[in-house]
Amino acid sequence: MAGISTAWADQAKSDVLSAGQCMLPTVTPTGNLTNTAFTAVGMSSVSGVAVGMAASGTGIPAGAVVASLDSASQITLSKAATATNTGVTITLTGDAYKFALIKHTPTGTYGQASQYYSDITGNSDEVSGTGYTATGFALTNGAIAVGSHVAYTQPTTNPSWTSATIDTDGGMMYDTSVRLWPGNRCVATFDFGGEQKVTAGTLTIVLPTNNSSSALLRLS
Amino acid sequence: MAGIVRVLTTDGGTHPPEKYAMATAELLTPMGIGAEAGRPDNNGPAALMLRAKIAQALIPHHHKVKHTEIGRLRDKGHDHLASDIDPREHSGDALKAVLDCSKGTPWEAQHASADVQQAMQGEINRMFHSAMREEREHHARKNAGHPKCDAFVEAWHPGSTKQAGV
Repeated sequence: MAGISTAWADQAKSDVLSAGQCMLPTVTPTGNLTNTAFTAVGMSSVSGVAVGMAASGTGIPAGAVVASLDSASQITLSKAATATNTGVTITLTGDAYKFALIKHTPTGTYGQASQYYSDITGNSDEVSGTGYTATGFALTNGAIAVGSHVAYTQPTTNPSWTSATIDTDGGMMYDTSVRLWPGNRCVATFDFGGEQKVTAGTLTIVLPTNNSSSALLRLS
Repeated sequence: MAGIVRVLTTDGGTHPPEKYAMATAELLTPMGIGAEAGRPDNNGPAALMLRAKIAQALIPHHHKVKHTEIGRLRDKGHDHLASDIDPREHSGDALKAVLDCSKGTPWEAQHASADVQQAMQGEINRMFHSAMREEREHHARKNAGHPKCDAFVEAWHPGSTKQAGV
C-alpha cells in the first residue's frame, strides 16, 4: 500500500553496524604535511576523526580520505601530500547527507523497508516544482551525543526551500557518500502528517528537539 | 528510532516571526521537563501555558532576526550572502527572555541548570539560523543569475544552477 511512514530504514541500521555511514560533523585540526608523504603528523587533535572521512587542505590532493589513525597526533591519508607545510588546517568531513521531498500522493511505499534515494525516483515520486532541485537539500552533520544510554544526532540546519511551489507528503534523508555499494542509501523516511503545500513561498522541515528522547536519529 | 518533524509553510514569502516563535517554543518546552515522579508534567495545562508564554516572548526576537537580516541584505547586497550565518548575536537575549518566562513556574529550577540552558540555546540558535538562511535564499532566488546569488542557492540545493541552465 503506497504511503510514507516515519522510520529509520532497516538497511541503514545494518549500514551503521557495517561502518557504512559516517555522520560525524566536520572538524578542522591542524597538522604538518611533507611533500610525497602520506602521513600528517603533529596533529592538534584527532578527536572526531574516523577512517574514511574526506580530507582537504593546502597540499592535500583532491579525493584524499583518512586511511588510518596512527596515534593521538598522527593520521595517514590515502593520497600523498603535494607540498611541505606546517600547521596546515586539515578539513575532515563525514558523509554528505541530503533531504529529498516525496510528492503528494506518492505511488511508492516508504518506511523501514526503504533502501535508496532511487526508490523515490524509480516511482517518479520526487517533488518537482519551482524552487525545488532534484536530489534535495544538502544537510550539515551535527554532533553525536549520548544521553540516558541513547546515542543520538541530527543535522544542524532545518531543510527548507524558499520562493518555492511545492506539494509534498514526506521526505527521505539519505547518504550521498559511497561507503557501501550501491550509494545514495536511505537513512530514514519521514511522514509529514498530511499534505504540505506552499505556493511561491517557504517550506521548512523543523527538526525535533535535539536530545536523547526526540532527536531525529536515535540508537538505544 | 527516527524523530518526528513538523513542517512550516508560508505562501508568498518567508515565515512571519509569529510562526517561527511558536515553532521555537515547541522545541524548547520539553527541555528539562519530564513526566517523571515529582517532576512537572510535560503535557498538562501549566506546560501549555508556559509554551504559549515563551512563544509570545520570542516574537520580538524572531522579528529582530528577520529584519536585521533583511536590512543587511539591503545595505550590503549580494556580498552579505558570503558572510557566516551566525545567530549568536541574537540568541543570548532570546534565551534570557525564555528563562524569564519560566520564573515562578514548576520549571524554574530545571531551567536554571547550565546543561538545560546550553541545550535551549542550541535550539534557539538553530531556529534563528534557519530564519537567517531563508532570508538570504529568498534574496538570492529573487536575484537569480547573479553569480553570488546562484552560488548561495547551489550550496544548499546542489544542482540548482545546472537545473536552471546557468
